[in-house]
Parts: sequence; C-alpha cells; structure tokens
Amino acid sequence: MIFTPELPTSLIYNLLWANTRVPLTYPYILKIVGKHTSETMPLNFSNSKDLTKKVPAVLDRAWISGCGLMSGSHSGRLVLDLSQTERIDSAGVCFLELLKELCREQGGSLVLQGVREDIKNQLNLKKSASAAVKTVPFKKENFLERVGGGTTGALNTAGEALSVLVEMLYWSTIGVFRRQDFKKGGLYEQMYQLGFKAVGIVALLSFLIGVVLSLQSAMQLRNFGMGIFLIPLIGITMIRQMGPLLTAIILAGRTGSATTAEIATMVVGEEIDALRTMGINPMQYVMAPKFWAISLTMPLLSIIATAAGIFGGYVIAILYLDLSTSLFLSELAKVVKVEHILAGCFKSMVFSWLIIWIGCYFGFRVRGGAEAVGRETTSSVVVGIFIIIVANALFSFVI
Amino acid sequence: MTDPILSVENLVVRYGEKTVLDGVNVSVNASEIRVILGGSGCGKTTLLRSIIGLIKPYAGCVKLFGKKLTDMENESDAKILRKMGMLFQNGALLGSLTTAQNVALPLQMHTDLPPKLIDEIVRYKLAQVELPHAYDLFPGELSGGMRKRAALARALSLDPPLLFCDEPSAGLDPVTSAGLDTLLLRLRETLGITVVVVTHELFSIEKIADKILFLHKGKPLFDGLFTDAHELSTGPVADFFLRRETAVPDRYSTMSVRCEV
Repeated sequence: MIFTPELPTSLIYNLLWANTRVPLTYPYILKIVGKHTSETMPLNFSNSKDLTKKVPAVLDRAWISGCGLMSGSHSGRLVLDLSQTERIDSAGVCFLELLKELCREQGGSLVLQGVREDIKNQLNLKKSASAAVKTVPFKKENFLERVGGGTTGALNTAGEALSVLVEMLYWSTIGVFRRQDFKKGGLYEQMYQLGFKAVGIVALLSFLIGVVLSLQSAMQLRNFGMGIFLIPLIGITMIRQMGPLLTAIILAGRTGSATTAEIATMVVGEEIDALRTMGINPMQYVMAPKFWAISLTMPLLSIIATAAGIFGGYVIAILYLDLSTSLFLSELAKVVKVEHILAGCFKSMVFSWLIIWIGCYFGFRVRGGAEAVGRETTSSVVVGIFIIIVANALFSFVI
Repeated sequence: MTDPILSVENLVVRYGEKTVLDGVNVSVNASEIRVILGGSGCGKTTLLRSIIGLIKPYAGCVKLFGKKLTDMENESDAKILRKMGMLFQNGALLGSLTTAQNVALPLQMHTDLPPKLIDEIVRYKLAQVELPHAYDLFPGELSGGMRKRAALARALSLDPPLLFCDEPSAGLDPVTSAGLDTLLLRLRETLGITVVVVTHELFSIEKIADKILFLHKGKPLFDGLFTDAHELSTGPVADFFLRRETAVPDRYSTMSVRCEV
C-alpha cells in the first residue's frame, strides 16, 4: 500500500476503518511518499487528528472481532461514538476497559462519546467487579528455589509414604493388641476378592508366558541337540523369577488399582472421616484386612503361577521336543530345590506388601474429586509395577 | 452451673498462610440446640471439623465432655468419639455396606451386644428416621434425602449425648427438611440430646435453634440466644435474618474512562 502526502488523513483512516476485517497490526507499514520518501515508518495516530469510530446499535463480540481495534496502535486520541449503541454485552464491556488500558500504555487516550446511562452503569459494575477479584501474582522461581522445592517435595512424599507403611505394618500386627477395629468378615472377603478371583488370570497368563518362553528356548536348544536343558531352564526361571514377578505385576494392576480406587473414593466421599468420628481406626478397618489377605494369598497365587508356567513348558517339551512325561518330571525334580521354592514365596510375600502399601498410599493421599481418584489410581499402578521390577532386580543379587 | 458439654477456646485454624478461623470461642450446654451459621465460606464447616478432631487447630483448644482430643487413634479419644454422632453433609455412608450394615457398624465395633439385638436396634433406628424400607439397600440406591436420614440413623445408633450435623437440610426438599428438624427436636425432648448444627437454612434455624453462633469471615460475630439475634436491626447478623443484601460502600465507584455525553 502506498499513500502519498496529498492523500487526506481522514481518507486514510476511512480506508483503514472501512475494511474492518483488516487488523491494524503494529507495525502497519505505510510508505510515505514526499517528505519521508526514502523512509518507511509505522502508522502513528499521534501524527494525526482524533480518530473517531462509530459503534453500532449493539456492541458485542461479533463487532469487536471485526473492528480490529484490539490489535491496532493507539498512541493518539481515539474517540468511540456510542450514541447509537443501545446494548452492550460482557465482551463489549471488557473490550472498552481493555482498550482504555491499551491506549494508556501506548501514550494515547480513549474517549467514549454519547454513552447511555444504562451502559455507563454496566461499565461501572464491571470496574467494581474486577476490583473485587484478587489474583495471586505468579512468582517465577529461580533455579535454586526450584531445586529446593523439588527436594522438599520429594522428601515430603517419601515421609508420607513411609508413614503409611509404618501405620499399615503397625495396625495390622502389633496394633491388634491395642485396638481391634477390624471389619467383621473382612479378611475372608478380601481373600476372595484379592486372591481367589485372580487365580484364573494369573494361571492363564503364566501358562502363556511359560509356553512362549519355552518355545523360544526350545528352538535354540534343539539346534544343538540339547532340548533336555529346557526342563531346568523353565523350572528354575518360573520358580525363582517369572512366577513371583508375573503374579506381582498382575496383582499390581488388579489389586493395586482396586485398593487405590476404593480408598480414594472413601476419602473423597468423607467415609474415612466418618469412620474416624465413629471412633473406628480407618487404617485398621480398611488396610489391615487387605494386608493380611494379600500376604496370605499372594504366595499361593505365585505357586499357582509357577505351576502354570512350568505346565506351559511341559506342553512344549512334549509337543515340540518329543520328551516324555517321566523324563520331564525326573529332570525337574533333580533341579528344583526347596530353597528355590522358599525364595520364590519370600519374594512374592515382599511384593504383596509393596503392592498393598503403594495402593493404600496413593488412595489416602488423594485430594479433590473424581479426576483425582483416576489420577492417583494410574500413579498407583505405574509406581507399583516400577517398584516391583526394581525390587525384583535387587532380589536377584541377594537371593 | 454444670460444665458445658462442648467448649471451644480461642480456636485458630489456618490452611497454609490463610487464616480460616480466628479466635473462636463457644460453649454448648447439655440439651441445647446450637446452630453455627454464617455466609458461604465463613468457616462453619471448618469449625465443625476442628471440633470433632478432623482438622488440627493452629492455636486454641476444643474440649468435648471436659476432655481435650489429642490423637484420634488413642483409645481415650475413641471413648469420647463414641459419645458423639456426626452427620456429614453428604451422609458419608460406607458404599460397600447396606443401609442396615452402616447403621449397625458403630454397634458392632463398640459394643458386645448379640447380633439379634443389634439388628433390632438397627430396625428401630431406621424406623425413627422413617427409612424402614431401606434396610437392605446400598447407599448408591438411595436418594440424597434418604442417604442423609440413613446417616442420621447411623449417627444415633449408639444414642450419643452429643450430635453434630453438617448442613442437614442442604439439598433436601422443604418437607423432608422440616421432617429432619422435627426429628432433631424430638430427640432433644425425648433423649435430652445436645445438637450442634451447621446450616444457613433460615427456616431450619428459626425452628430449632436455642442459641446461635454467627461467623463472619472466620470470626464470631454473635454468640447468644436466637431470639436476641433475631431482634437485631443492623449489621451482618440482622442482614442474614432479614434476608437482605449486606451493604458494601462504594460498590459502584466512578468509572475511570472519561465519558463525554
């Protein structure tokens, strides 16, 4: 666009204002021919007379979107003629307030002309309403503050988690001598829910893992004519590693999430508070049956998982390697020792405490509503599986 | 004069840096219906939760039956807690138990009564709150009003001498709400029960309150007889009872943008 100095200023404005779809973005470059021939300079209203803009009968968001005033440069005197305006919506009220600020910031001024009394009242109401709203300014933290805040947060989380662990162990064991706030029949109910109902899925998945693991191993071993070594391989792997680990991972997803969701819902629904006010210890009432149920059922589940996995290996040994049942059983009996079974049971017991501890911790720490329950349940599963895998890795060095 | 059943002395409660209750003093005598009222966000529920030990105060103390709650896990505190009932705003019934099991819970936990007798007490309590048909229903199958009444039956199952109610009428239709008020009055008359109610339902307050504690921005503004409060003509307490908007000076300040009319 080229404007010559001869072109009347009012015409420039008319051209600009007429096309309300063109925003007056700064810098809106105009090449001035004449005095500033060799220069390009931004349009500056201060170089001009007052800019007057007529506002239609309704000052609403549709008009504001099209007028382009929000993005224009306002270093001059801007006059808005509202004499025709009969109605103004919330966007209009806020627009005028913001436009005033924009004009002031850029060294200009805003003048409203012909404002009706009711519109004036609306503008005054907006001003008083905005003044009443108090906002806390966002404080940008520096590096040290962020590190300090993060460390304190991590320590707090660790402290809270340890506190839940201690309370769980205390109220489930020694605390019984102090109080007996157990839910009547809760242990059997939890053993059924956490243990018995998981038998099917644990056995099926372990069997399938046993089949896959055995098949992959058998394919390699057969190349060297050493198919018989599949038996100790699958036996030891399932008893010491895969049986307890698979059970723990399945239960972390199943029991861990259910525990977190149940406790979190109780916290959100004030059920935990209700128990407290009834003089019932919620830790003992809610956590203790779960703790004992999972402690008793998980080693059993782990044994079932191990047996299912070994059975998967047996199927491959029979069908793929053509080994006999008696050979499989005798070779298995040679390598499997009582300490292997005890190590597997011990691991699964520790895993069960980790699962219930993490499930309860995330359940009790929930704050907020339904969304928080979902968030904590997800965290519980993710952290649960992570901790179990880490713990299993540590166990590999110890036992 | 007998000692008050409940006394709160210079209670200060803070959430982080924010002071929610600032120097609240109140004492409630036996067989009194005390209503804690005030506008939304004035600290009514916080006061109630501090009294029953769910919120630890920043300063001051709460005495129930002349004793201070120290640690809710302690047996001594549990004994105090068993002498009071609490009706939560949403009922807070245990979702995994039926209505009857919820009502029976305090009886099973704190008494050695035979199951048959417990069952009979449960039926009596459910009949008292007009919920005999909800015996086998789970909380999820009850309406809001029914849940509240079932929670009241649970709160009353041990016949506590002190009952706390957090907004008992909130979300209820006027008929059910009036029924709850009548029930509270009847309990006071028949059992001499002391009731502390948090509410801002005017009809309810007018019907049941002996004394009121009016909170305003976390501070006690009026503590005394309901009849005295009702006679006030100015101030937030009078505004509350006269159902009028509290006047805020300079609400409509002058507009900063210049208007050339």
